[in-house]
Amino acid sequence: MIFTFALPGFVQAFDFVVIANQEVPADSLSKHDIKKIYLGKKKTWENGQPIELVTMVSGDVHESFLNTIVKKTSTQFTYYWKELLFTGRGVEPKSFSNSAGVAEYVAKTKGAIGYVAPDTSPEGVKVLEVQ
Amino acid sequence: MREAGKPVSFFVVIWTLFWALGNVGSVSAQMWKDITIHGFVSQGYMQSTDNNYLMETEDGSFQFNEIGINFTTVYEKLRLGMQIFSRDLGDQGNNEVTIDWAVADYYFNDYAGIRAGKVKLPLGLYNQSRDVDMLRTPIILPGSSYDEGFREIASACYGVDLYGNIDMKIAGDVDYELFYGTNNVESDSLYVRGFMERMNRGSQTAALPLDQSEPDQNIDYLAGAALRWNNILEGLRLGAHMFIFDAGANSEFTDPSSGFTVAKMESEVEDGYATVFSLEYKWMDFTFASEITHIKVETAAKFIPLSPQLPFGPVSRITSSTSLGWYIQMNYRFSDLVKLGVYYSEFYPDDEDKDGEKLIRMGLPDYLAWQKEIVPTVRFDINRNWLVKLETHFVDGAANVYEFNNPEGREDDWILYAAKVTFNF
Repeated sequence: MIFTFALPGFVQAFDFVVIANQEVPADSLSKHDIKKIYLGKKKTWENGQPIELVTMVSGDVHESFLNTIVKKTSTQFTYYWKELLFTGRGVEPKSFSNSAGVAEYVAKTKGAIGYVAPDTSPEGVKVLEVQ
Repeated sequence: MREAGKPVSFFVVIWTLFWALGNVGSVSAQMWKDITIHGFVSQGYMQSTDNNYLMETEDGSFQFNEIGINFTTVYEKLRLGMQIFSRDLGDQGNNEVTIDWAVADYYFNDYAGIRAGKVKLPLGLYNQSRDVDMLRTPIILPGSSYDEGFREIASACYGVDLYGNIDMKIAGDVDYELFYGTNNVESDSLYVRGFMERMNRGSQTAALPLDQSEPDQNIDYLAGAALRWNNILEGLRLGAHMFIFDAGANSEFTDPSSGFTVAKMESEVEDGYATVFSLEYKWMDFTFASEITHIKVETAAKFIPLSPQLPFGPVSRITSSTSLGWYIQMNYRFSDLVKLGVYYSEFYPDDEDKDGEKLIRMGLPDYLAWQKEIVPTVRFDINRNWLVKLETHFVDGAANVYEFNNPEGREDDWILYAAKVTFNF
């Protein structure tokens, strides 16, 4: 199912929308960069601000984002982060059960990035163009 | 050699607590103030048709568990964390509580960061996660690359670890790690006992009717580097890992009739290193992996008589061997519930004696020169917290089977059955 999310200036043909805290110094990101962020390999924004990635626990939006951008299944993604966590090399990203939870956390957290369902009306965040 | 009740009580209490958590439904990470808490408990069982493998498996044994709980907090670019760990593997671990890792981790940018404290070592793709059952398909990692006898020296070190990631754009990215530190090895560990077993093999001092004390082991340093090139093709990972170490061991010989110390042995590793080259490819629900490992240990030992009654004077002896191990593994996830895996592994403790001719000349069976295994595993992920695994090892050879676990001798062809249940949150 392909949605078109229409905010002024943005057209994204994905089952998800990538959002970021309003102070994040980026308006667009490549798929490559988003993937590196969600694998914990890109850790800072251009201004040096630490990136805080936010995920959903499960669901179609979660699966679609991981398959399209991160190139992993939900199970693979979960165990990727568990491996970093249990070997002292990282900490699992914060996760929420729905888009509203993700959007609310991203809005109030400096450097945060997340993804939500296209029909969400997130407030206090910026929508990033995915290149 | 299990010590009194305290460590076992710790295991039982934690297991009961985790069990209770599991019964109230799906359990996620716990938070206390800004500290994230995660944990796991694994309980296994092993039984073999012949040969006691790492413990008394011929009679079947439940002395096979791991438990860990970790605490992590993050402030900007600084992460502080530690994992408390306890395990039992026959005579090893005995559920004593240890620190598995404890790090202060600060990254400067994507290219460079530093971890200090007790850090897990990247010797092969799965060495850092070898104590965490849920992170892999097989219950027992291929002994060809993940020899239990080398775990004590190569699983972690007290020191520093420099790390980072280099973006290669369309050619993927490269993770690197450089580490330096030291470690403590228990005198009754598999590493030390296996080391002494090899040192004494074929030596004239081993023929003396003397009791040898558990060696006092010291490690001067451990150092190494790892490069992992990710996504050259989507899903493909190549790894090169190097590890060097400097260690020594001293022990004493006593006359069992008088109880007097009559000689001592001083040994030093002159040249100790390990290399692991790795390949992993994930495609759809398949994972393929293969690694090849060399471990070289060249040791100079001096036997110094302290009593004139011994039949010979000081003896110096240099032993050198390079082990070779490799495996190939394939896993396939049928569904969220079921995953199947199989690996084939070959291990040779002496790369120059693959057919055991040297051992025959020492009066030992040739099949101690190799261990070849086919290992199918089925893994059931019951839910996000619970998983169960069943595994069978069809084994030819006994190179990874220790003499001290099998004083009545070792067999050539044998089968090992393993089962394990893990809870994590």
